[in-house]
Amino acid sequence: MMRRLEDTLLELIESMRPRGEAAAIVRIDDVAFDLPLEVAVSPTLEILADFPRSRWRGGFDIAPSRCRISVRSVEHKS
Amino acid sequence: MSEEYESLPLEDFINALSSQLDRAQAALTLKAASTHLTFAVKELNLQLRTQVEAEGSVVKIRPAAPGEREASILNIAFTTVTRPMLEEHRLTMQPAEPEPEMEVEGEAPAEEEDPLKQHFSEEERRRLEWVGITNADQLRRLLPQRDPRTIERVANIPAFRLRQAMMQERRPVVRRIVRDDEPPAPRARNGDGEPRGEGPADRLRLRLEGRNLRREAVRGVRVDGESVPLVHAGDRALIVDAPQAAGNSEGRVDVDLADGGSLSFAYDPQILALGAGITVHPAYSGAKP
Repeated sequence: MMRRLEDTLLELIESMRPRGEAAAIVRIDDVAFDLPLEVAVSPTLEILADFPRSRWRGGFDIAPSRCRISVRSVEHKS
Repeated sequence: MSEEYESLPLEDFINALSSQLDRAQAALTLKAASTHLTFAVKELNLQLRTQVEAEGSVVKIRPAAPGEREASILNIAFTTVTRPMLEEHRLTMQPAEPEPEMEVEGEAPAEEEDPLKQHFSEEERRRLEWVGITNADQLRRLLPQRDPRTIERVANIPAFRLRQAMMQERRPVVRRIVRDDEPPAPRARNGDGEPRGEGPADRLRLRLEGRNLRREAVRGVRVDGESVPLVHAGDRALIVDAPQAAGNSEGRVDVDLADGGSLSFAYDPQILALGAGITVHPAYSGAKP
């Protein structure tokens, strides 16, 4: 089952957030990803996008598209 | 959530992509509440393997299905929009002044189902989201400020259905009546300092809860046929001072609306006297010709 595009992107971006002790001493300012994504459209017009399920492509796998995304850290003022 | 390999207009794909990126950014911002540091998407470039086709003047795309190795590649790039760019292109919108609502004592009103669900299918709601309408309040406020033909084209919903839904959502609704514990205003006094006319002891303060109950939408309220003073008229509540006798008599309320119609309902005064709220289902009488 493929996830929605935003869920996949969130997981990807959040995986770069330092955790534990590293959070106190490391700050990531810029990240750029370039990765394959399987893309489809749900019947309710949502874009589904997920990482390829396997490195080996079979005849039943979607030919992956490619996504380049760059993010930067910003101060959040509440 | 099942995948599908149907084609869809290119602009629908772009709208959906843009809307889902907005959601991703909103979620990132929410997560920053504890750390005060968040990530912002600077650029996104999608090389989409797709089949491109045209139906009349509509260009449609379909993400490549399994086995379609010779699909076209569509490059879509999103970049950060700066505030001046945004202000240059955005439509003028005057959001309604939010009205401070009074606290309601006692039983909380039941959570209402999203009214948009009553008017539009899930797919139609998704399309409305693309034009910035995600709830009934935005439908009420934004529709009059935008060209319905633009929304009709982007959302693929006939303008008359949008207007019909908006009219229904703007109509005053009363859902609950409750006795209000706030004491009524003190009685006016004559020249000798004696209370004049009916006073707090003679009045029963009632709160009618619902929505769209602002003063411009409501001409007046009658309790058991008698016009009563309107103490407060807000978006979600009307407060009236009814005669104390209203607590003993039959219990009938008529809310006269600005469009000439009225909302009428009966209630049990004995239940009201216990301090409990009563859910009501008013009958709407249309405007007199």
